[in-house]
Amino acid sequence: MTLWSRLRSWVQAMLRRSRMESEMDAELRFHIEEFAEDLVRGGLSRQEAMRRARMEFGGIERAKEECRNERRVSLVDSLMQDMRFSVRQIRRNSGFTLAVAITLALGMGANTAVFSVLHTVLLRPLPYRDPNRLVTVWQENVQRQQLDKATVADFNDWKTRNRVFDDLAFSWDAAYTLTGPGDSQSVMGYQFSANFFSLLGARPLLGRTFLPEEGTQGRDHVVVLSYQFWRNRFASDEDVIGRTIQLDGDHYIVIGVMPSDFGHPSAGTDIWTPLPFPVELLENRRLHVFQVIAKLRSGVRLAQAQQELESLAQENARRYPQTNQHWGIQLKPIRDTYTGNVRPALWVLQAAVLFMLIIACANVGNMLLARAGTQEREVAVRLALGASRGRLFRQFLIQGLTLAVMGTGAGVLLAWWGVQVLPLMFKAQLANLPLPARASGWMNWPVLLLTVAITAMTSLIFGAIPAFHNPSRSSETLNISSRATIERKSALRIRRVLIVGQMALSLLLLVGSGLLIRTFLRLQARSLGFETDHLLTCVFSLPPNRYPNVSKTGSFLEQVLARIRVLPGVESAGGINTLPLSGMDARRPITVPGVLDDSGQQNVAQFRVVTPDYFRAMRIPLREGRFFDERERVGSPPVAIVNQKLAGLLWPHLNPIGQHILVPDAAIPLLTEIIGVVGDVRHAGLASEPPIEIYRPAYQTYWPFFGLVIRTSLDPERLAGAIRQAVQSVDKDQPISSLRSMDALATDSIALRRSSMLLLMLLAGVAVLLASLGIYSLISYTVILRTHEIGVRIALGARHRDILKSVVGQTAFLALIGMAIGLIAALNLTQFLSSLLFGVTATDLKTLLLAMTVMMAVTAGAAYMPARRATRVDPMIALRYE
Amino acid sequence: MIIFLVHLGEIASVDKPLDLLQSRLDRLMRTAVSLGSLSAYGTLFGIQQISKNRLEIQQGPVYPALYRLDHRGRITSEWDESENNRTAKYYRLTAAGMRRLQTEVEKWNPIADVIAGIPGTTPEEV
Repeated sequence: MTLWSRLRSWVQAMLRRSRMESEMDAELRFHIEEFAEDLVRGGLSRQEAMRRARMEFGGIERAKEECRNERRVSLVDSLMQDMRFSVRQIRRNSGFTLAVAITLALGMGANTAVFSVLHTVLLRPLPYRDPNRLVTVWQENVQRQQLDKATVADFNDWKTRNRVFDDLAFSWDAAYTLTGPGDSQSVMGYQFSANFFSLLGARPLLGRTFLPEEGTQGRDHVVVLSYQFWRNRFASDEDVIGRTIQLDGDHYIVIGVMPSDFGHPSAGTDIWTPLPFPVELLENRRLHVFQVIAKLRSGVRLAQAQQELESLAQENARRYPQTNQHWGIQLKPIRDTYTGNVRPALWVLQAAVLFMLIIACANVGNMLLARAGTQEREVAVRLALGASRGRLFRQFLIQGLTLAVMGTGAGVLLAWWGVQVLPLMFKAQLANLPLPARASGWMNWPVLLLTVAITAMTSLIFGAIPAFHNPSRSSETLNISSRATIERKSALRIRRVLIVGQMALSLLLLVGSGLLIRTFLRLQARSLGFETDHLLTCVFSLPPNRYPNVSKTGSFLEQVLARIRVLPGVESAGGINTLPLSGMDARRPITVPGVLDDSGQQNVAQFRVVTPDYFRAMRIPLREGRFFDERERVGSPPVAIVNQKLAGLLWPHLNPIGQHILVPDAAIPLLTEIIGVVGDVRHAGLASEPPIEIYRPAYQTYWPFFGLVIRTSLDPERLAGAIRQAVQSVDKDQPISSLRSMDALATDSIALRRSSMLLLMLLAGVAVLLASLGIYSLISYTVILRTHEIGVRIALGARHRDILKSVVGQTAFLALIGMAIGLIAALNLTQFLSSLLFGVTATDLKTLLLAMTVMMAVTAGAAYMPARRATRVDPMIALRYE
Repeated sequence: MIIFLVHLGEIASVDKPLDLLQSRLDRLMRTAVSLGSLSAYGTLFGIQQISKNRLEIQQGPVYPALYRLDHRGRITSEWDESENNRTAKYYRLTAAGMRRLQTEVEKWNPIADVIAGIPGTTPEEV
């Protein structure tokens, strides 16, 4: 029970601190007065008696302190004192503390946020069985350096003749219109071979996926829903299994719902239906239709499989030179399907924030070491006055801890904000990936803990450094009468190393962001080939069972455009099958009759189906001939418009107007007359080269889906409702989707580079700022150290220039070493940026020079301010302390 | 001397002279307090009387010692009127303190007898 009574007495002591204090006072007063009373009785005067009593009692305060000690109150007391002390210190040096805390928070928060996003996007395990053995298989046109889907015949060869895969599965996209139950709606569908789900090893949330026999004609009217689609369309109704829905008017039975983290080939896919093997294409090596996935045999590496398939491709190239010459094969890890080109950007960003964390920690170390120097004398004095080493240590630790709490607190907030903002910056690039909805789903908790720990350790260790004061130096320290600052060789050495490192990393970041800025400027200087402003776009698919031929699709388009054209604010409107910047693509081989292609390979041009007003709405310029007009109808002579690039390729020395080409229409080559030449368009975005293009009139050529472009005099987004109504007034069951302004599409298409540039610019800016702070504080520190010496020099007639040289010289040298290291690092590391660069090489001389100039200017500025102070040292004041 | 004190069970370690002093002071205090409810000032007198004025102890350290004993539950305190109508804090031995004192006295007496006998012992007696 003694433990209990001790605890109780401690708690009482803690709770009734003031009462205990007053009781202690009363008790001691009673003691002394009683003692004095006795002495008075012994014959002393009262005054003398009181004096003697106090003397004999000894140190009253000391007795009190020991009493408190006995009650274990003092531990808490001194902790409180230390806290108050560090709060006072912080208030006194609020600039310093704020700088340290912000630096810590930046380094920590940015790292946590970027790594969390990187982990979610690139490292998180995919919801498949053995995801590392899953690959996508592509055919690659070696001449055009372009990946393409697989032809059915080639797929069949791979399937029957490979020795590296467990199995292969095929798929293609299928846009559906959901017509019932409820309002009609376009849905993004994908048709999977019956073994697709089982090859992935993806399990449904509800129901089941496809059975093998559902991959045959007649049994294939079953559908699996995505989680999103199930939630939005069916309100997460678990009874949806077994219900019938209408797709393009046909009845399908819902057999399963996939979990929220499944989305193949993209997170936007709404439904999956079975794809029976298209027997009619079995011999076809021209139409690249299949998206293929395969599972590597256990133990087979990607490179091995790549090699084997490559030799298969070469064999086919010899056997079928007409179709397979110049076609190779590419295997890619399945994750690439979802992450695409955001991968290098995220790694670059991760490296950059890591560099910034190092710079931040170096800077905090630097600042705390500098302060340790100024606190050294204080420590020596307090040790000499009898402060216990443990107490001092604790006090500095608490100073460090206060910093750590402020820094990590702000850092956690920054990280929280970051994991919400970063995915938005890369939104267009992350569209393929099922992503967490909430910040807590993005946040990588182990890394958050790790960065919190690193940050806390940095501030604690560096914060406690002054407490490691060497007692043997005490007398020396106390003897120095300078301004409370002692030079510590080891601390100064650490600070110099930190400066070199900071300069190197800052230059590296500066070069990186410089390269991205130049890339961005290059891109901005280019033209897409059409005007993006005041342009509204939307897309819709026309279900083949209701719009089976060109007269149906044509009349639908014509009616819709006629209604849109009369809307207030609309200037012109047109339709196209594959909207620029939308990622949609259609290609057809073309030949000039009588001209033999010497490569044995046909020209494959982008195949566009457009309404007459498309060019006017897009403001694509007419170079020669004429646009399409009312003459182009079903049954009229087939005509086409080509872009400048194709005209230059086919008829470099002839007038293209009136020439004829062969271009397949519904698989039959059709002799087509060229009636016009239009400007080139960068269909895939600013960084892409314009493809060769052939345009065919929409009232002459069948196509099952279309996009509309509507040029307005108003804000295009405000027309969205009216457009929807116009379409529905023609066909109430026809949904439209992706109503967006062309400006938004254009922004998305450069978002990856723009976001990378902005982030890297920000990081480089912070890095340079931190590095210059480091330089500034190091030089101010040396100036304070050497005030006396400088005073002597000035008194002896030293010129300003000499003083400047002696103060700045060494730091300037350190900065130059750091920049040299940074330059070497930049030359070696910026190649990792190359996939993000455009129009500049990774070792662009101009950028390197510019970055170095900026770095030097900032360094010089940071060094000049404290150095100038050195030249203004008044020898009278500096020497007065002697 | 050190070895004897270890037997008294009050100390944890022999190489801490401060603890030795403390434990001896503690014992004196308890003995003094066991004589009846006393103020701190009174305990000082008590000790002097017990030791027949041979022990001169400093006044300051009495307080930490009392607080220590109080903290450990060996003594308890209350505020009361003094002889000349002033309030003073009076200390009293608790039951636990009493038991502790008894065991120590039982241990201490034989040893004290032995020690007391040592100086007067002649070679012939051994």
